[in-house]
Formats: sequence, structure tokens, C-alpha cells
Amino acid sequence: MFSDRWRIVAGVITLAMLVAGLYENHRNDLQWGILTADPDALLLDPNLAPYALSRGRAAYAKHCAECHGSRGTGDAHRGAPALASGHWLYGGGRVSELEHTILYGIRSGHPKGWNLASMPAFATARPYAAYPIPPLTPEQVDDVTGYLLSLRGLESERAVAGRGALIFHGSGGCYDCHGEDAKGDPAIGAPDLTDAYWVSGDGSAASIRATIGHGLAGRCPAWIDRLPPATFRALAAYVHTLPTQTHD
Amino acid sequence: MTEQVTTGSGIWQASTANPRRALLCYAIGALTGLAIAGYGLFTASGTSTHRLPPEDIALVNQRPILRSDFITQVESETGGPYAASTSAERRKVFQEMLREELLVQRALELDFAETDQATRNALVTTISDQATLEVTTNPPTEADLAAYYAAHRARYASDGTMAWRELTLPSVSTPSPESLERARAAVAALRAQAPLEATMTRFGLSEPQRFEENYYFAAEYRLGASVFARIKSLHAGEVSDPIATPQGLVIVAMLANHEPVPLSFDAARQQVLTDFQSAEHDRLLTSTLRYLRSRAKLLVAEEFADATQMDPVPTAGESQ
Repeated sequence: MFSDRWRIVAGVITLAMLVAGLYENHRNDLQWGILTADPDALLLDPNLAPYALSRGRAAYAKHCAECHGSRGTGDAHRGAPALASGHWLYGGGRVSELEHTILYGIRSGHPKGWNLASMPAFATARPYAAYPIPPLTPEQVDDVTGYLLSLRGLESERAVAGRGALIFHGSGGCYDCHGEDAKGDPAIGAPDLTDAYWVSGDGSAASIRATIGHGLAGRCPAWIDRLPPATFRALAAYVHTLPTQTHD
Repeated sequence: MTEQVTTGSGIWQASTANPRRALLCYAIGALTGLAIAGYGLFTASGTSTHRLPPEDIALVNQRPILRSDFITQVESETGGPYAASTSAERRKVFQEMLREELLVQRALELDFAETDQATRNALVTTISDQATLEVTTNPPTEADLAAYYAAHRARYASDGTMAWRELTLPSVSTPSPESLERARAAVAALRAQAPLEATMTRFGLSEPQRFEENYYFAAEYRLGASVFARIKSLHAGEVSDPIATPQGLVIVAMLANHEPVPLSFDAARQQVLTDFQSAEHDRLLTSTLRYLRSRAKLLVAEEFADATQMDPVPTAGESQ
């Protein structure tokens, strides 16, 4: 009834379908695996890690690289954090913490997103929208700038830094988010002001002055309704590895 | 090749074609389909899954509890990484989340959005934040930002600062010609470089408050809008004409005035982005409200019959 040629074609199609089915089944197993694994242990699993990283790398290139850079170097000029720096604004950079940020975003408008605080704009009449805090004068902004420079051992007049410290720990209320030691608070996304890494600007007096004056409130979208569940976990795993990746 | 068609007792004989058998199979298939559809329709159970998706730890009436949320909640309650939590701790959190979902679903059934003010406030905030969600998930292009910057160029400048001395010749009502004359003489003396303190004593001027150098917005707040408008273009060392205010005649001696310097797009980009997103938020919220109003059946009391136009939505800053 059927010629040999048709039998061969049917055989090839059947074989291809079988291979595709097996591949899809394998992919489903991997997806199931990365979704049910403890996210922080995901990269320790030799079966799951390569798939998660490969999938995460593709998603990163498509959705994150535009702001954070293809190698996670960020863009301090635009206030986009360098994910490869190992300095995490929110949490400590564990996969589960990153996944939460990817899912719900930062000041994204999602009720579960990070939105506890933002940097006030002290050179404006109403520095903070959420509740009233007094503005600073240009001299006070200079003093706080001097204090922050002194924390990194950079040149700053002792008197200026002293006055700045009083403002930082007193009327300016900076300590409330950045901590008494100015080392920040990852629970609310307040950066460490004592190290050399700056989310926005280059850490120079001018850029610190600008940040104190105009404030900061960076945003990251909530991806929960835009990516499949396996992708955001894979993406979190990939971002977690960015600080340890080496590039040519 | 011919096919044998048989009827009667050979109906289920697979080797032969039989029209009655074919019709019977069609009928059985159709009836089975109808029965399944009818069961689904009349039991009203809707489309549901009996298999738990791997990203969830539970489905409560088909509402998922995400594994990721569960992990975050465990870490939040135990104060440590998920891997360090015990099975008892995880179980406790699981029970709590299950309980919460059940109670939330019950609250929805009881329509608390209609009666509970806290729920209503939370819903209003959430819907308002939806506009932010739209804005953040659709970031503007550089061209969008450049166009916004070009359209609002005046906003983007460095902060102007000034230091000044504000001298007052008090008067109880409209200044008399004599006091106006005295104020003009004081201005002339100051412009001729007479020492400020001596001039104050000589002409009976007072200085109710003295402020350090401050931003323009603060200077405007201290001096009042009308005085600020008159003095903001003075250069350092210049003295204003006498300005009539409710407190008396005011003379401002400008010590320093650093006018705002326009910022390039590159320098202002971050601020432009923030402003653009705030404007987009307001635009989206306004259009959402406009749409909701257009589809709503509104019956309005007579005294508000003319209030058919929608009031503008408060800006993002104001609404927080």
C-alpha cells in the first residue's frame, strides 16, 4: 500500500518526534528540578546548574543587560547598580534574595516589591514625599559631603567633616537608613557609604553633593507576570554568579 | 481492490467496513463529549488543575502560593537562610500562609472591599501603584527622555544659592512719604559702600532674622515670593530698592548669588528619568480614571450635576 520511500519518511518523522519528545521531557525535568530545588543550593547541583546558568544568561542578555550592562558592570551615571561588583543593595546576593527582587522589583509599583525608603532630595523644599523632613542648606550639604569623604580617608577639612558628622548623626537623619557606622542597611537598600563602590556617580565630592541635593530612587521592574517561573529562578542564579565570572 | 460491506451480525468485525458501526461510534463520541461538557458546566467547578505546578507550594482554590514567597517568608520569620530552617519552622510558615490565603479568600467572599476602610485604602493604593508598574516595566527610550528634556529644559539647572541681608524699616500701615524717603536714602548710602551696620543705626533699620547662604527655594520661603521675585537677579554687592511689604519697607543687600546653571541632558539624565516616570504615572492614572468613569453608570446628586469633568490626578509626589 505504501512505497518504501514513504515508509522511510514516516520513520524519520517518528524518530524526530521521539527525539523531540525526549528532549522536551528532559527540559521539563530540568525546569521542574530548578523550581523545586532550594534556590540557594541550586548551583551546587551538577545537573541543574548548567541549565539554570544557560537559561539565566539568555534572559539576562534580553531583559537586564540594557541597564546593568552585558557583564553586570552597571552604569553609575544612570544609577544602575553593578551586579558584578559583589555589592548588593538589597540582601546579600543569595539566589533566593535575588529572585525576590527579580519577581517583584524595586519601587516597581508591585505591592511585594522593595519600596521601604528612598534617598531624600535635601536641596528641595520637600525633601521626602512620604513624611516631612527639613531640607539642608548648601553649607550643610557640603559638610555632609566632607564627612562622607573623610570616611573613605579622602581629604576633607576636619572642621567640615566634624560638622557633617553632626548632621549625619543628627538633624539630617542620614543614620536612620545608612546606619550609625554609615555602612548601609541591606534590609532597605541603603548603600554602604564607607567603601569605594557607588551606585550613582563616582564618589567624588561633586557627585555626592548632587546625590544629597537631588536624591535617588532607582527602579527595577517586577518580572513576575512577564517571565516564566523557571526563568526568574535561572536569572537569579545567573546574576548570583556575576561577581565571580571572569571575562576576556 | 474492492471492500466488502456487511451489515447485521458482523457490525463489530474490524476487518470489514460497516456504516452502522461508524455512525454508532460517532454517536458515542458525541454523547461522551456532551456529557463531559455538561458535567463541567453544571458542576461549575471551572477549569482546574489537579497537578501542583513546581513553582508553587500550594494551590488554594486554584490560587497559587509561590514557592519563592514561601522561602522569603521562612527567611523573614527565622532570620536566616532557608536552608538553615528546620522542618518544623517551614511547616509553621506553610500553615500560616495557607491560613492567610483561606482568610483572604473568605474576606473576598464577604466583600470587605465594600465595607472595610483599611481594605479600601489598600486597594486604592495598589491600583494607583499599578500605573507605576506599567511605567517601570516599559522603560523609556533615550529618545523619549531627550524629547522630555527638550520640552522641560527650564527645569534642569544646577541649584541656585544666595546669601543676603534683609533690612526692614518697620511701618504699621502704608509707608509714609517720609519713611519711603528714609529708606531710599539708606539704599543710596549702602550703594555708596557705607558700612551696613552703621547704615542700619543711622536710618533706624532693623534685621529681624539673619540667614546663612541657602538654596533659591529656601530664600523664597524666607523672603516671601514677591520680595524674592524682586531681588533674585541682584548680583553680589548690589542693594535692592525699598520694597513695600506688610511688615514694612524691606531692603535686601545681596552678599552672594549663584544663579542656576542649565544642565546638559547628560548631566540631568537621572532627574529627567525620574520626572518622566512621574509624569507617565500621572498620565496613566488619569487615563485609567477617565476610562473607569466613561464606563461607569454614574447617578450624581443635583448639586454636583455640573461636576462632570474629572479633576486632575494629584501628582505622584503629592499622592504619597
